[in-house]
Amino acid sequence: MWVKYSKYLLWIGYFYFSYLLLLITLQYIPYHTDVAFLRIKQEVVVLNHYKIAFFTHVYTSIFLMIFGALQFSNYLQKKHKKWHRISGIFYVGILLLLSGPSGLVMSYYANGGFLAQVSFLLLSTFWMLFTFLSLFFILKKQLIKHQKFAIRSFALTLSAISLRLFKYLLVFFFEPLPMDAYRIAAWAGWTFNLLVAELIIYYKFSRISK
Amino acid sequence: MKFLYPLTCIVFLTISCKEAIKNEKKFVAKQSFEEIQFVEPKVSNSLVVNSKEDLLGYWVGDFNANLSDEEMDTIYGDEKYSNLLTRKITFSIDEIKGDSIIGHSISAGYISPFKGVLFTNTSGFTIKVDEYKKAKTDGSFSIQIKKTDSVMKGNWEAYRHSELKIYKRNFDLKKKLFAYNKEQELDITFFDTDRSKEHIYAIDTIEGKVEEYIDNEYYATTEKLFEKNASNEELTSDFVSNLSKADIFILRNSIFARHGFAFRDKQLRMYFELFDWYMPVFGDVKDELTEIEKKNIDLLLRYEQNAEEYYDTFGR
Repeated sequence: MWVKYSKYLLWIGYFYFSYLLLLITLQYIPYHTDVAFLRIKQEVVVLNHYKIAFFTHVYTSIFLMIFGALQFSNYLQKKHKKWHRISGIFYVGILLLLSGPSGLVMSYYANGGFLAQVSFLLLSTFWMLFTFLSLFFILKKQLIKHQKFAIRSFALTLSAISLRLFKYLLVFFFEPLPMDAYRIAAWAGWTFNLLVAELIIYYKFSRISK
Repeated sequence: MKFLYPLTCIVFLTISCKEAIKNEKKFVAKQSFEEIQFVEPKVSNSLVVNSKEDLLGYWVGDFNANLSDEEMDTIYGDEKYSNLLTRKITFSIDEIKGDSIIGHSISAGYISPFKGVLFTNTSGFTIKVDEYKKAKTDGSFSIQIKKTDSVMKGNWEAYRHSELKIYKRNFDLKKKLFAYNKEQELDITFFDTDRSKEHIYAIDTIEGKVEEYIDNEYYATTEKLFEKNASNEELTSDFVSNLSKADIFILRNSIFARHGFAFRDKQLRMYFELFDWYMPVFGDVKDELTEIEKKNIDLLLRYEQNAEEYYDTFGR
C-alpha cells in the first residue's frame, strides 16, 4: 500500500519544494543586488562576473525542476518519445550552458570558507559531468548508461532542495551556528542525494540484469 | 528503498509548511529615539559640590520604587512591573540661571525634560523641579545635596497617582562624567528573559511514574561574543557569518552602548546596565559613531537581517 501511494506523495513533495524554490527565485525579481542571500554577499556582488553568474543561476535553474521531472515520466518516455527528447534538450541545454557553469563560478565564491567551496566546486563539476555523460550515452544509443547518468544528474539537481532542507532540519533540531550549519549542509546536501541515486541505480538495474 | 528519501521529505513537509519562506522584512531593535529638545548640557568636571555650578552634569544611580508594603505586594507577582521596581536613572542638570534650573532625566530610554527652582542655603542645596512632557509618567523631583558632598538624595512623585502602578520613587545619585571609550569590553553573557523555550533535559521513572525535567533554553549569546570589540576593530564577514543571532544583536548594540545610548528595549537596557562603564545619557548617538563603527553596524545589520529572515527557514 505504501508503495502505491508513495508515488503520489513523492510528486506532492516534489511540487511543494519546487514551489518553495520558485519563491526563492521570485525574491530576485525585479533585479536587485541588495536583497535576500545577496545581502551577505556584498563583497563579491560588485564583481561583474559574479553578478552575471548569480542571476543566470537563479533565473535559469528553476526551469530544471520542470524539465528534470518531465524526463522521468514513464508516460513521456514510452508514449511520446519526441517530447522526452525536446524536454531533454532543454534540460541539458539549460544545465550545461547556463545553470552549470554559473554554479561553478559561484562555488568559487561560496560562503563557509575552503571546505564549503570545495564541496560546491565538486557538486557543479559532477553535475555537469553526469549530465553530459547522460547526453553522450543516449547519442551512442547506450540506454542503460544513459539512464544511470540521468538519475545521477537529477539527483544533483535535487540537491537544490536537499541542501536547503538539511539546513532547515539542522537548525530545527540542533540550532548550530549559522556557518557550521551551512558547511554541513553544503556537503550532506549532495553526497546524500548521490548515495540514494547509487542505491536506486543498484536496485533498479541489478533486477534487470538478473 | 526507492521511496525512503521522498518519504522522509514528506514527514518533514508538515514541519516546514509553517513559515516556509519569509519575504517580509522584520527589523528588530532598530535604534529608536525621541526628538526632544534640551539645552546642550554644560558639564562641570567637579565631582564634589562646592558651588551651584558644580551641580551641572550627569547624576546617575538607581531609581527605586518607594511604596508601602501593601502596594509592593501587588507588584511582586506581576512580571510586567516587578522588573521596573529598580531601574537606572540619569539625572542631567543642564543649565542654572540665578535660581532657576533646567535639565532632563533619562530612565528606561525615555527622556523627560524638567524645570524648576534651586534653593541655596548655608548647608547645601535644595532642588524642586517639575517634568513637563505632558505624559502620564510626569512627576516632580525634590532633591537635597549637602555642600562638599557628592551624593544627591531625593525622591520623585507622579502628579497623578492613580494612573501609575509605581508612582513614587527615591534615589541616591552620584555624579559621573561621561567619556566615550572604545576599549570597553563585553564580558557577560546576554540572555533574553522573554524569549525562551522549554526543553526536557532528563526523564526519570519514579515509582512507575514518568517524570520529565524541564529546563528553559534562552535566546542567548555564545562565547564568540567576547572575541571581538565592534568599536575597536573592523569586523570581517568571515567572523560575523558564524555568529548566532543574539551575538550579532548584542555586538551591534554594544557600539551604541559605548556611546551612552539610552536603550528603550527592556532586554538591552537590563543587559547593559550590568556593566559599570555603561551610562545611559543620550537619546540619539548616530552622529557620534566612528567610521569603524559605522562599517561594523552596516555589516552586522546585514547578517542580522539575514539571520532573522533565513536562519530557521527553507533556504540558504
